[in-house]
Amino acid sequence: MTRAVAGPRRPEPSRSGRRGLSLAGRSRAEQLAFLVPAIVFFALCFVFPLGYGVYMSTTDFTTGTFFTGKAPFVGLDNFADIFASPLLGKAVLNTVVITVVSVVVELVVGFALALHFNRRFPGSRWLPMLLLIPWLLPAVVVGTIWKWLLSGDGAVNDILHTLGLPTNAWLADPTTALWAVVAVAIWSGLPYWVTILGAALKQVPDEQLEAAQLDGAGAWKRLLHIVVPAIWPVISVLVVMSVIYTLLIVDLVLVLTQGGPADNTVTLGLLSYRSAFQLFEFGNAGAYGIVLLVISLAFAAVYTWLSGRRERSER
Amino acid sequence: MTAVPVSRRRRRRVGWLLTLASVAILVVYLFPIFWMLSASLQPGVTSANIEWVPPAPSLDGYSTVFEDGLDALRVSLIVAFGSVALTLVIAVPAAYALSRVRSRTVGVALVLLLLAQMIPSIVLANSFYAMFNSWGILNTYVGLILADATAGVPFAVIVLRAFMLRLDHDIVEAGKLDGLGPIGSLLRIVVPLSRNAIITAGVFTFLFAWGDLLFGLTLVTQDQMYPMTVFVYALTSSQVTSWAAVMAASLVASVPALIVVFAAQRYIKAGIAVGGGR
Repeated sequence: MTRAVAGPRRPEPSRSGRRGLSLAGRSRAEQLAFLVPAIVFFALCFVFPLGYGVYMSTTDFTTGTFFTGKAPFVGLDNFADIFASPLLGKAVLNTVVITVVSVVVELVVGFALALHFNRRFPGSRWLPMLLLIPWLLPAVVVGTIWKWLLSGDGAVNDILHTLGLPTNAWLADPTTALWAVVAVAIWSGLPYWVTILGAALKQVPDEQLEAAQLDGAGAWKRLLHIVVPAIWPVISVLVVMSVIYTLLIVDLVLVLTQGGPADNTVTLGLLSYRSAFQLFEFGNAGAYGIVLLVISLAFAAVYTWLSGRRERSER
Repeated sequence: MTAVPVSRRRRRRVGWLLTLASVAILVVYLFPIFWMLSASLQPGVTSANIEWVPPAPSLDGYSTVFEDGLDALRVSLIVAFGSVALTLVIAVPAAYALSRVRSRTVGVALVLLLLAQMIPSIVLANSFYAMFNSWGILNTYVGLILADATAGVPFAVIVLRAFMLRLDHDIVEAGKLDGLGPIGSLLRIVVPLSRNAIITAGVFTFLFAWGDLLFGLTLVTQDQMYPMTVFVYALTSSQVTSWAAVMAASLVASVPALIVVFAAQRYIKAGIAVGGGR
């Protein structure tokens, strides 16, 4: 993280103002007042729901609770329940596969496309903008289009058939459904990577590249030793944000497969949704949610630790 | 970046080849979107007999969305713009305060904001359902706006604060000497100076709220309060509707997001880089 340069700092007036609050005290009060709406919002929409989620995960919270107001405390029974179910392992594995594969492919292909669009040619300014469109579509639209394209008699199979390649009902076949979901997730996420990496590439100083070229460094060498280190901060932020976002994936899976066929594409988020809003077992839903939360927070903690260590070692 | 100096003519030819390659990439990549448009113009076809280019384009597919989907379109617009307004009202003053304070608590606040961004919406949705039920705001604009703002607020505070750190604080102080109160100087000085960052935060909040399926699906139980995304989802899940109607609804559900982003394009260029993975 770079620290922005602040304007010339004024000497803080002393706190000995005689009429009530000093200048510094008054501006501190103002700052606090400016933070009040945000604090209220966080308490109401983050802290309270999170606490409530933890509470629900320890009770037998069902549809009846909404009428009787009673949710018997069951301790860790919900967790015992979901850990005993074979679905949890499957969901964790699927979540990890979707996340790792799509982030790796998006990084590699996104970088290649960003390099391509970074060269100068007629249309190089506005053609990449069109590429952003898939990322702007709501997930439900992405899912709807691809559900049809990937169906047994859909357009993807038409094209494969014309090319003489094997066809399949990609989303209905238990062995291919997860990979079809991954492919669709990549399709909708990749444009963002190309856009952001493209913007970062424009910041790489030309002089450095020219100097390296004069020293006889080939294209690969320049890429690995100048370009990648220069945009590394952007890459690391993108990777972290994408991993976290992909871990939480619910809507795309819901539209494409609803977790099927035979629960082969369930993710943690989907199981939580399914428990709460299809089976009305809010206790189990809460437990799945907590597991998901712990995984994403663990990932965030590792990231914070790594970036802290790097900053320390750079000093 | 070519090593050997080449004649201008040759370079131009290479340029056009690159254009050709780019167009080819785009044609393949955007094919599903062309397919959505093409299918929306072919009512009464199934996936077996659909043509790539509509032989006799018809707008009949759009009748479903413009007869039954108008409520959904209205709900989505109100909720999306409402979330943007709520997010900015909360985030602009908070970001400004956090950009001025210099103490250890700011670091803690920033970490909390990052963590808030990582909380799965499904966890929030489960709790919101129970909370909103007891507060009586299921099936209301207020409920959906509050829920969608959870995606916008942490992001907006982070982006806006990063931008406001670079503002020249002396200008704000000068405004105070001219008799502007704290809110006056925020609205008259800080907001105009931060225009691009505010537009960026607003556009991203709009995209989160507009594209949201989960909150719409869980916090709304009455047809007339479904947002556009849930309308499309319901059409997809039902067996009877024609594909032309589904694709027409999908297209209508996508256009506002595209309009907002391309209209704000020149303001958000700088901000998009900090836009996070969503």
